[in-house]
Amino acid sequence: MYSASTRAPNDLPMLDRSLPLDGVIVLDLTLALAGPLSTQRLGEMGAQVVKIEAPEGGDFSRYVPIGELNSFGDSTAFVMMNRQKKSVSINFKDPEGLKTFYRLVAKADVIVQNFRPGVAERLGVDFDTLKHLNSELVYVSISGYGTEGPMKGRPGQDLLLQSFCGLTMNGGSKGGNPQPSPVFMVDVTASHLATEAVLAGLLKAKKSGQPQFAQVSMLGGMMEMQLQEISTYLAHETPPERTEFDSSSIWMGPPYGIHRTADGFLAMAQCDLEELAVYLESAELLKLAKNPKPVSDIESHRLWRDAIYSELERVFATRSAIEWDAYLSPKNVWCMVVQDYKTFLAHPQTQQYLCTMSHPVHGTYTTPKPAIQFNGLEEPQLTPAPLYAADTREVLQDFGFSSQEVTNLEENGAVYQHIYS
Amino acid sequence: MFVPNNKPGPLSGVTVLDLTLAMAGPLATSRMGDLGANVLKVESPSGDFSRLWPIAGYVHGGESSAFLTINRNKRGMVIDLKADEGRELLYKLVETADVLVQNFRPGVEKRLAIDFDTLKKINPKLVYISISGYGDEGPMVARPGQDLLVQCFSGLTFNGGARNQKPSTSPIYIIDTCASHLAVEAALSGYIEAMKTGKGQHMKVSLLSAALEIQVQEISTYLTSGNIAKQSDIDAVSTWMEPPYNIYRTQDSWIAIAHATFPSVAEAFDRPELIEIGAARPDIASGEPYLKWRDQVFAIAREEFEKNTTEFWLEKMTALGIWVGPVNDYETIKTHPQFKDLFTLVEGHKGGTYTTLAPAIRFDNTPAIRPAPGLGEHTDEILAEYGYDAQSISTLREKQIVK
Repeated sequence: MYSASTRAPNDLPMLDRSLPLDGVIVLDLTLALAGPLSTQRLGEMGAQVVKIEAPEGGDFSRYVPIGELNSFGDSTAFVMMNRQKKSVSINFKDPEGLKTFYRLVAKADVIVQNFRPGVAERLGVDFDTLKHLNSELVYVSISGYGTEGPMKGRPGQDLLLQSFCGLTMNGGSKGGNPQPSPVFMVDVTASHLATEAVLAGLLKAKKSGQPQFAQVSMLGGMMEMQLQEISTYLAHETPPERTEFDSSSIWMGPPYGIHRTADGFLAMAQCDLEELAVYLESAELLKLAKNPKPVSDIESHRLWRDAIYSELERVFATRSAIEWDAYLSPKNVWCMVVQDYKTFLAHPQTQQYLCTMSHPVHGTYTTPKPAIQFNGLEEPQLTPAPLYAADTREVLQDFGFSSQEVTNLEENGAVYQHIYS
Repeated sequence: MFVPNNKPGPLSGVTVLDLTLAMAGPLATSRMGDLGANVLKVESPSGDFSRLWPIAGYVHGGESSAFLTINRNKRGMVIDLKADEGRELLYKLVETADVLVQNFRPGVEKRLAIDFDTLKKINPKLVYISISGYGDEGPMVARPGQDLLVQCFSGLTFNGGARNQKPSTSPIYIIDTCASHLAVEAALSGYIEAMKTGKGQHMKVSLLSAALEIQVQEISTYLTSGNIAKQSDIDAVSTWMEPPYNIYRTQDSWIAIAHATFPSVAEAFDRPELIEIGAARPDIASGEPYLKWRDQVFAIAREEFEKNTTEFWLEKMTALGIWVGPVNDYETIKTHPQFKDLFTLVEGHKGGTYTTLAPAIRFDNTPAIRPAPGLGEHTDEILAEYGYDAQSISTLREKQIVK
């Protein structure tokens, strides 16, 4: 996978140092969020990522913005999850299109797909078909709920999976609304698992000279993400329950959670309650801290817990979140002022994680840097998300198709190149 | 129930030195263990504090139930890194290790003389991963890298909820788990590069970079458009998603609704006015008119969902192509057939068996699952593998360099 012969000539701009996946070619058959984010990460590690899109518009998420915001001709969110890629449009339902894809597979190292179960087989792009074309192929599939079971045909959507996997009952109050995570962590987690599967697969394929197949699912990812809570739940007869006080996690004791102050909100993580009582000069809290109720007596534990939260509510209401943070933080109490994006993204701590990029339609914009910082590569070189079907001709020629062959394929509708003026 | 096939996993032959504590680090190394790596958890004489910090106070065999799962597929040893001989012993392990992962607060690794610049002289191929809370510079570096605090620092909690209400946190540890993924990705990509070039490197990830990446959609959209999807008066799962995206109370429990078109929802609820309301959507940049419009849709959905059961709505809406799902608790998932393959049975290091999660990444080869090690459980075994004889091991023990 590292030999020069598999390396298509049209590479990213020269970097001042090599990246781990330089020379690795990834064929990206994914849509939406989990798949595209995982292949983008591979691109940030140096891989050449070819996003293969269906005719007539490609990845639907180009056209499904979040917050109804499009700044790029495509959905803003799409642009953020598809950098470091080129876009090629191939019609898999056309026999010539499928043959074209097979020629790419022969020279590629990695395929990532997130079709619903059964679709890859129907299209003829499943692992058992493709492994014969490339002896060191790494093939990773991402599903919503796994390939079996009553839910396998259901949409693998973030909120629905959060709701399905028990997550939302870990916070909130007794009888109150379920408490989902306000960001798309199911997708993000599946994207990580897929990246890890690709990397582990590349190692194994290289060492063994054999094709590798790995499967990850959003549901498996959510099980792993909740491993503390689920493992603890499984190991015990009486798991904690939601109480009257709106909790950030039912698994954590007070003062863990978010507290309203005179101005803004203060987050508190684990701390020694007796110490906190002294700092807050609360005799009531000190009394409660000195008299913790046993975990096994659910009812008295619940009353004890809510009594503490209610006392904290009283005390924290007397000063602003910024004042409390300035007072408690130097005493090594684990707390934080709760910020919104405006404050967070302007905070001096955050600047090292942001960079500027430019896009052919939108121009220059600010965005988060790749999350993994490679040695000696302070400023990563990033290429923007590809416009739909913008690179079909160029990529096919990089893979050894003649100009005439590409023209024929285009005329037959097997592949599609969009011309941007 | 998932049963490993006991073949060597894809990372067999890769040795990982795990100098981490708490959650993000230990979870990263245990995932490498799930994939077949040889993971050596090196603890101080007092051990990883999270052994004794159970969530919700639950323990299994005297140690935190959560710790047991986060630290499976490793062997454990104790070395006193503050003693010269202990440090020398670690250097010996570093000579042949492939990856080292640490999550000390910035500066501690230099004080202990186990920083990358020191260790690369011992093993130029070493891939050195550090996981920090907030990076290694800036005003927040000394602050605790704790999941909830990073969620709150990073703006995440204002992506849901209602205005003037409490910020909406994620009820599970999403920052730690995502940072653990970044660390594994760094380790594996670094190892691939070291295989090619013979040179290791220092790779850094932080809880803060994980928090940014989890929010890539929301933050990028905010940064490029200048618009922020604000909270309205009705509690929303995500301020960024068009209504009726939310969780609703039904006659008997709850229901989650993701993607739906206005005509399909109008039909499901038999509320034809929803088609008109949907078509009259004000621009998000209009601010208050947009928020009022959104709450109008939420209010109708709330009213309608309460009129019937979850089962009724699931059936009716699924038939109309609307993306809906039930809201389960752990009691339900424990017996739900979809989870069958996601649980597995493991033996505890102090005896007995317990049900826990199967590995999330499935290759054809899945190694047997090894329970979390007891403190110093494998010290002698590992030292013997590195050529220490019984006499020198007992000398190290007497001097309290190892335990």
